[in-house]
Parts: sequence; C-alpha cells; structure tokens
Amino acid sequence: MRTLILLLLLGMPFVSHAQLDGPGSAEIAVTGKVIPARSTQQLSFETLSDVNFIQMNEDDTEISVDPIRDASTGDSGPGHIVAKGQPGASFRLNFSRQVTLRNTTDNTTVTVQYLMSHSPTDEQRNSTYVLETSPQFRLNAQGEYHFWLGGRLSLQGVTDGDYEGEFTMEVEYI
Amino acid sequence: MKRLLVLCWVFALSAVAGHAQRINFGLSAGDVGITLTNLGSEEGVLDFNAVTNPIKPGTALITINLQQNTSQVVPILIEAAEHLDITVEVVTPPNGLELVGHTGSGPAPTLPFQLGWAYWNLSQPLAVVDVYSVQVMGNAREVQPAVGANLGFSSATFPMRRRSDGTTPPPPPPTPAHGGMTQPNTAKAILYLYGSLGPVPSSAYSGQYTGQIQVLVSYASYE
Repeated sequence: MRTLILLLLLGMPFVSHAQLDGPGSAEIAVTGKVIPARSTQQLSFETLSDVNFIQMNEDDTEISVDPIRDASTGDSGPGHIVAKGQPGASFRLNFSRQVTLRNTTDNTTVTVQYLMSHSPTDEQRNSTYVLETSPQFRLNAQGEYHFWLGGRLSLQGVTDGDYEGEFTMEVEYI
Repeated sequence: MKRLLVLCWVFALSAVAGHAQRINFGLSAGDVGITLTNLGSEEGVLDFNAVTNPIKPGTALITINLQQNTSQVVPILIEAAEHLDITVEVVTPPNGLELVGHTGSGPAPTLPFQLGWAYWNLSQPLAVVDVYSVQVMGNAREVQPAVGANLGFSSATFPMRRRSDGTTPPPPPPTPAHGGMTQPNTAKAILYLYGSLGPVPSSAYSGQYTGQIQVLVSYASYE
C-alpha cells in the first residue's frame, strides 16, 4: 500500500508538466472611429457676450481683460462664446491671437493680443487658458463647450475714439 | 497475526483495480512550444473603418466576415507540434468597444461588438500557406459567426493538422522522448478573427472606440 501511494505522487508532476508545455498567447486590437453626423448637427458658435476693452482711467496706458478672472457682464469684460454641436464630438480650435483694430473716425490702428480660456461647462472661474496652437476639445454631453475671450492692448500713442476689428475663431470636427 | 495479513491484501488489490481503469495517454510535446504570429494587414488591427468610413451616429451594423471582407479579417498563424490537439480560447471585451479618452462622468460609452472566428488546420508539411487565399479561407471552420445569434463559443479544441476521415488508418503514435531523439515537427494552423460592430446609436459619442481580443492557445489535455 505504501509503495502504491508513492507511485501516484511521483506520476502527477509529469502529467502536469506536459499540460503546461508551450502555451502561446496574442492580443489583437479592435477599433472603430465614429465621427459626428455633420449634416444634422453642424458645429456652430453662439456669442453670449462680446469682449469690450474699455479705458477706465485716463492715466491707464494699457487695457487688459483676463478671460478667467474678469467678470463677463456684457458691457465690459471678456466675451463669452459657446460652441455647439454633436455631444461628445472632438473638435479643433484655431483663433486669431493678434488682431489690428481700426479707428472708425481717423483710421488709426491699435493691435490687440487676444487670450482665451475654455471649459466644458459654464464655469468661467474654473476655465483654463488656451495656450496651445491648435488645441483639441470635446463637446460635453449637451453638445456644448464654453470659451471666454480676453486680451491686452497698449494705449500709448493711441488716439481717442471707437475701434473695430474682426476676431476670427475657427472650429472643425476631428 | 494471520488474519491481519489477509485484510491487507484485499485492500491493496482494490486500490490497484481502481487505478487501472483510468487510462491517461498524456502528452508528448517535447520542447515544442506554441507560437502565435499576427499576419493581419492594417497593422494587425481589426479595423471597422476599413470597411465603413466614415462611421457616423446612426450607422447600421458593420460586418467584417470571412466571405466578403477577406483582407480586413485578421489571421493569426499558430505553429505547434503537428501531432497534437490545441485548445484556443478567445476573450473579448465584455462590454463592447469603449470610447477612448472619455472625460465625462460615469463609465465610458461603448459600442456593441460581436467577435466572429474560425480556424483552418489543413496544412501540409513544408507547404507554403497563403492565409488570404480562397483555398485556405474557404476551408476554414467557423466557430462563431460575426452576425446573428451569439453562440457564446469562446473556446475550441482541434488538431493542429486535421486527421484522416476514418477511411485510412491512423498514423503511428509519436516516438517517446529519449536521448538523441529529434523534436517533433511543427504544423501551421490559422485562426481568423473578424466580427461585427454596432449598430451605432444616433446618440453615440464620436471618437475612437477600441477593445482588445486576447487569444490563448495551449495543448489540449482532455482531462
């Protein structure tokens, strides 16, 4: 009886060894990229408020509007723009970093350095500056993405009056 | 003293008889391991954009199958001891393909995915195997179709080289391992992976959806 038990114990490791010999494995990726149905939900902008550069004091030599810290009231402060489209869609943003404004009366010019901040939700204080050249964002579950537009311009040598210019902001689905 | 000896004999005979009823042929793979090689185009990726591009929200079921999308099917070359059976197990992402880079709340959005797969084990010694040829793909045996009822077959056991149909005698058993013996020959078998994606809901998030299929191959034990 003792001899028989010993044989069984010796036999088991050999069987196990044969079963484990040389297994192989591989991993295969499966992918599919879904793009937005552009025909039904074009990517568009809605401007909730314009950016206004207003000289508050006569001694100011520079006007600066911070897109995160300055309140967007509609009469002053940063502009508020909402991109709208397919929920969850990724898009790329390009905008004018520098724009020349022209005096509507005497045609003199002033250059504005624009600065934007962004957030997937309508929370200006929690937004972050757009520093990349062509940043990519993703529309939120409601198909929206928020931008605030501010900037800086020097008043040295600038004549009084109203100035107008065109700020260009482009988005495209990716 | 005499009675005790008799009892011992009965007990030992009983144990020997029980063990003798179990016949285990075991395995003799020697040192022949199993190697898997991804031979797929599209960098070995099962890419549904290769058959439908662009994929938009609302797109119907997208299918890559063995008959119509031969170049998009991913072939996996299996090389193993030719006289043995192998067990192939495929593991698919349980919730389908997941959106990459999801930043919203809750789990990442998913798209339904059903794996289809088949195997081919008719290789001949030293013959070149053209994995995309009609002769090979047309003779593959499908375990799970790309569309229709998901049969849930995630594993299959088959010989590395399909044996005769019974009209010819079986080959001799392999030579047991001994000093100076040469290793058993290897054979090539092909695993084909394909499947279906979708339908894509009209409310689907856009972006890259991805998942991983794991293929595990081992020698069958029949234990």
